[in-house]
Amino acid sequence: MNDELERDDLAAWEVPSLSANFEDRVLDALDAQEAVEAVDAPAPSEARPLGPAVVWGAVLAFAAAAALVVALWPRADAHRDDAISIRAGTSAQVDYTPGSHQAEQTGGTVTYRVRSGTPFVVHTPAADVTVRGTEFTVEMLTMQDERRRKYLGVGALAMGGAAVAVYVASGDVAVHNEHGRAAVGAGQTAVASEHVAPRTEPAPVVAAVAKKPKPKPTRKLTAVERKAVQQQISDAIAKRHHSTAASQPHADEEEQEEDDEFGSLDKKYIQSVVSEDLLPLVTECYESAIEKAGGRLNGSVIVKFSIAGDESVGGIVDDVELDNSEVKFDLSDGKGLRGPGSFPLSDNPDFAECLSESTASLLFDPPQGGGRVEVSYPFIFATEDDGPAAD
Amino acid sequence: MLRAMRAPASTPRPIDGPLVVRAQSGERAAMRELVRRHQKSVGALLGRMLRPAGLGPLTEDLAQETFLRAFRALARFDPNGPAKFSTWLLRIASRLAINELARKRPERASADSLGSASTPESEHRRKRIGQAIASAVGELPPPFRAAFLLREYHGLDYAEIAEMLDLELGTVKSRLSRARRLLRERLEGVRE
Repeated sequence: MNDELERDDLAAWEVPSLSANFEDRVLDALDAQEAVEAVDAPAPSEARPLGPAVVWGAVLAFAAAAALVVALWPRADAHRDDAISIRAGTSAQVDYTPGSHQAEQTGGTVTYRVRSGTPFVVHTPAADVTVRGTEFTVEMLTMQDERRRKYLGVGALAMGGAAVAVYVASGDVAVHNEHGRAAVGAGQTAVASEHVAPRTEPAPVVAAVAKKPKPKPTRKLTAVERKAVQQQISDAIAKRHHSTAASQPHADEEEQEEDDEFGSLDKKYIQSVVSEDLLPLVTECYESAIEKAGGRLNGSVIVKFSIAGDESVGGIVDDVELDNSEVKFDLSDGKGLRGPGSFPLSDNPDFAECLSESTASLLFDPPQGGGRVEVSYPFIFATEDDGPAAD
Repeated sequence: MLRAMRAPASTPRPIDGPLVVRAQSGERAAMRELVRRHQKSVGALLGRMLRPAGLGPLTEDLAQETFLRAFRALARFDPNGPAKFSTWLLRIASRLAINELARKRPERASADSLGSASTPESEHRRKRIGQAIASAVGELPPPFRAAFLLREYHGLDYAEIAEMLDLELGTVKSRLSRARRLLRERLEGVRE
C-alpha cells in the first residue's frame, strides 16, 4: 500500500466555488454596514437579545379562526436568526428568503427582527432601510393614506409615488434614498417617498405600532392573581345574568342563555393580542421544547380558549384546551424523548403546560355585552427544512 | 507523510502589501481585488470545514463574514509585519467555522455524495476518495479539522497553525498524525 496521500487524492475532495458575484456581495455588505455605522451605535448596555428566530404570519386565513405559522430554526444557523413577521390579519407584499440578509417589500406592514452581525437591507420603492441588529417595522403608505399629507407635505402628495414609514422598536436604522438619508433611533419613525428624502419623526407613525393602545396591563398574571380576577369576572357575570333574567321574566330561556354566553370581540383585536402577547411566549415554549428534544419538532396545535369578561373588570382567559395536538418529534441525536415518529402532545407535558399557561396569562378587553368569546387558534410549528419559508 | 497541497514553487504569488495599504485607506477597488484573490482559498477552507457537518450552505455567509471582519479590522493589520494577509484571512475563517461547528445542533449527513453507478470508473473512484477524506476529516473535532485543512490544503506549517488556533504545537502534531492514520485506513478501504 502506498503510505502517502498524494496531492491528487487530496484534490479529489472538491468543494463548490463561491458564487460568481461574491466580490459584489462582500462590497455591498460592506457599504450597507458602513451606512449603518454612520448612525450612532447603541451603547453596549442597550443591546439585548432578540430571542429566537421566528417567521410567522406569512399567510393568514381568517375565518372562524386565524392561523399563525411559527417556524423556528436552530439558533446555530446564524443566518436564519433574522426574522420577519407580517401583522396578523393584514396582507403584505414582501420577498424574503431566510439567509439572504435582505428583503424586498412593495406593500403592507412587515416587522423585521435582525440579529446583530451581517447587515440586513429592506428595499422598498421609496427608500432602502439598512440595519444591523434591531427590530423595526416597515409600512408602505397607500395613496389614500392621510399620513402622506401629514408627514410628507402637500407637494409630495401631488407627486405621488411610493411612500414608506419605518418605525424602529430597538437599535438604530438608516433609511436612505437618492434624495438623502436619515438615522432613526429606537422609538422614532422615518418617513420617505420616491420624491422626498427620509425625515425623522419623534413619534411612531406606523399604524401597526401606533394604533393599538393596550386597554389593560399585559403583564403575566400570577396564578393567584388570575384566579382572583377570574372569580371577580365570574361573580360579575353571574350578577349580571341574575339581574337580566329578573328584568326579563318572559324571555325564552334558551335564547337568553345564548345571549349571555356569546359576547363579541373584534377578531382583529384578538389576533393582535395573540400576535403580540402570546406568540413570543409560544415561541419560547417551542424553543425550549426543541432544545429539550434535541431534534426537530413539527406539527400543529390548536389552542382553544374562552375569553370571559365584564366591562367593570376586564377580560381574561377562562379556560384553555389544546386540541388535535399531535406533534411529530424527529430526533436525530438520541438525546430526546424518543426516536423519529409521531407522538401526541401529551408525551411532552412541559411543552403542553407551557402553551396552556402562556395562553391563560393573556388579558383582553372584556367582550362587548359581557359573556364569553370562544377562540380557536391553530399554531403550526416547523423546524428548518419543513418551515414555510425555508425553501 | 502526507504531502501538502502547497502551491508549486513556480507559481507567482501576488504580493498583497500594496493592495492592503490601499484598502486601509478605504479604496474599494483594492478591497475588491483582495476579495477576488483570496475568495477561493477562504471558500475552500470553509467549505471543507462545514460540509462534513452538513453545513455547506453556510459557506458563502461565513466567507462574506470573513472578509467583512477583515476589512473592519484592517486598520490594525500591519502589511509589513510577519503575518501574511492570506494567513490572516484563513485565521479569521477558521475561527468563524470552529465557532459555527461548536454550536449545538443535530449533525446532518454530508451534502457530498458518491457518484452514480453510471459514472466512469475513474471518476467514481475519485469521488469515493474525496468522500473518504471528507468523512475522515468530519470526524475530527473542529479545531483539529481546521488544523488538518490548513496544513494539507493551505500549506501552513505546524507552528503557524498552532499559533493561529491557540493550540499546543505538540498536540497539533500528534492529532494530525492520528488524522492521517485514520485517513490512510479509509483510503485503503477505497482502494481495495
